[in-house]
Amino acid sequence: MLPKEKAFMQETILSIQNLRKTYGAKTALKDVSIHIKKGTIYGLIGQNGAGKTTLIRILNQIIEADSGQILLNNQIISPEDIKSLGYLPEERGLYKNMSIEEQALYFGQLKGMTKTAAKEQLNYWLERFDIVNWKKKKIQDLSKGMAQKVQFIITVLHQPELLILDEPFSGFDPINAQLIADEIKNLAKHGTSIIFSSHRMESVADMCDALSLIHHGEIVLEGSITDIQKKYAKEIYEIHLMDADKNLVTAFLEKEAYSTKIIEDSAELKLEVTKANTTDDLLKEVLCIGKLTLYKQYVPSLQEIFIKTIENA
Amino acid sequence: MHKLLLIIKREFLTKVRSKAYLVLIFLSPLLMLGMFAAIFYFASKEEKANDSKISLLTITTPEINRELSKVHPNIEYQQGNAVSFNQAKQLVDDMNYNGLIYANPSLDLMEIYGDKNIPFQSLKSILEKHKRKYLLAQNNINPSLITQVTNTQMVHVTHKEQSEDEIKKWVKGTVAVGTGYLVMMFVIIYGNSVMRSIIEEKNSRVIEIMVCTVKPFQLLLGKIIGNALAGLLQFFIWGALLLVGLFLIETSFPSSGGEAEKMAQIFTVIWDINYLEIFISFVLFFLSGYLLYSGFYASVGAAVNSETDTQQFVHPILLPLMFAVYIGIVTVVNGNANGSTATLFSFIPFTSPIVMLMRIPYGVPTWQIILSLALLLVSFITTVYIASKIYRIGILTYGNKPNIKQLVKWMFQK
Repeated sequence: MLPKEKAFMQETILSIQNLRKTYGAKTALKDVSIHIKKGTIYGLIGQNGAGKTTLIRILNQIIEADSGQILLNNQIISPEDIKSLGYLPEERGLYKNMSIEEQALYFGQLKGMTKTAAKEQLNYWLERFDIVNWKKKKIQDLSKGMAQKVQFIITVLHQPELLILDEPFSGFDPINAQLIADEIKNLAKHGTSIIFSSHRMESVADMCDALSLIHHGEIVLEGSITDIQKKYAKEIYEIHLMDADKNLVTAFLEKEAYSTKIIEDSAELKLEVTKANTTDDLLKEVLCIGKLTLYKQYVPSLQEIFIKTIENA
Repeated sequence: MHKLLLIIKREFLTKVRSKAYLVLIFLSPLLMLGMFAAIFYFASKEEKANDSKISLLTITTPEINRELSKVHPNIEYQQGNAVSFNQAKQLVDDMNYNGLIYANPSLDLMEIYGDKNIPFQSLKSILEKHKRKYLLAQNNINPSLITQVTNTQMVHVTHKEQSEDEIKKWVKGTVAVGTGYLVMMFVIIYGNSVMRSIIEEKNSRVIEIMVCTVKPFQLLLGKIIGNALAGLLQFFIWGALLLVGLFLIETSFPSSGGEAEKMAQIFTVIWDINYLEIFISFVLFFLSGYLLYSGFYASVGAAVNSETDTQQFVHPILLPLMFAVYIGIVTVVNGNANGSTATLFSFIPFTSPIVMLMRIPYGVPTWQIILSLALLLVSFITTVYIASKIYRIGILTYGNKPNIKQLVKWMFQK
């Protein structure tokens, strides 16, 4: 994770307040509230149909919410703010019969840039990705990976304050995915706030500072990645013991302060202990049972946390 | 406004730069000319060749045989032996001749038998002439008088030249059918173009980026206007090509000779046409008709997922357009341009862009043109508004094939 010491991180760029959206009888979003700090990468995760796309479309002002409001830089978002947003949709698409340059100038100008500024930015990014000689190539002549790079350039060309990236790594090979990941982190470092929507938990864990998990249109989990992992890490321990005293083990298993599961009972006894009462000193207790070979606080992966949260939701 | 101009520019340039557009502009007039020339060529060849396909069995006198060969040299004659009329008829049927000349003035036998292809009238007058000659000779009339009496050239017939009014009527009819047909064609071509452009954006998913950059209505309007401009450019080019073509025909046509006078008359009428009026009315009625129908095309494009799904929706759009051209030909060109049927259909917005345009060369009261345009204006604002509602939802809906009920639902969705 990137060190975040910049002052701008204290300011809230986006504040989504009690957003609600229904399609006929189906509720797509139920009182969704999210607050995103400037210069952070904020993960938006959830299963298909959870409401992520609806939320992104409302942010992009493609559709309207039934109630609730969105503040961008503490002002209610307006059509004028479109130029402050950059959106990379999951389903990528560009005009196939236009060249990269024509395309960039078109989208850049639609986002309020002058032709000169759009040209300058395009050259900057083409040089950064080392693809200057592609400028005149038509999208239909590019490979999928190449087109994805162009799509990324077009998304960031107008230097938006808030970038919404929906599955930004899909379609990229590992090397190019890393290249894009570095660019995203770099943009955040320089003050761009990023909403990162993805199903791939490992990339969310690697990229994001904070996240929201949406399930059936509701936020069921939110906070910084560290806090979330800390919260779930507190309860479960993996303990390995040699020469354990069977009677003491039986007595320990019966203790109400813990919920204990035997993972393996061979030469080494492997236990998974969930603390019910955090005030008890687990380490002290297990030291009496046998020779301790491993005492590890179990940190579940984001994937596991999400599955568990969704199961309990 | 700036965004709208950018969209219009992109749509216009994409359209006019495409190979299909260049083919449409320069190749299709040549193809059409070629097609008309071919039809004309084969039709005239067919007409000349008609006589040569006829075969006749003749059982008659040598004089009549000689005259038949002189008057209809292309007919194939087979002289038969003296048999009865019924036997001869049987022979014609059996041997597949087109007909039979069974005549002998001295024996009072004057029969013609045959199918509809033989020139009955001409054959009949030849036989009548020989019968008269025979009767007059029988009554000792002076042979020179007989020749004078039976001379078929006794009356000199001169066909009246087409009057200027008739030429005018013909030219007006051509202009009316031409402009009416052009509007139908342009509405279909450019309406389809709007539809295809929407489907392309939807399929390539570029629409997702577009709608978060511009309002769907702006995008739709830009598309419609961009394609309309490409259509107008095509009309200007075709108009210019037509005028140049007419000028070249006029200058290359010989100034003297049989047809020269008639051609000069036709060209006088052609150059008398008020092109400015036709141009302005075409632009106005093409634009309003196109805007009206492009709303439907846009709705279809937004609703479907691929071009193959458009068939069922596009057919109902084509019907009123085709109907308008037919009603225009029947009631305006071949009927009364200011009759009640023609007037009625030139007010109904679905047919008025074509029918009213076809009426204009014949003279239409200004109030009728204004009323027709006003009704069109109201109608196209309505269809474009409805289309934008359907478009807004349809462009982001993938996968399902919507029905009319769903389209109506989209119109009211927030």
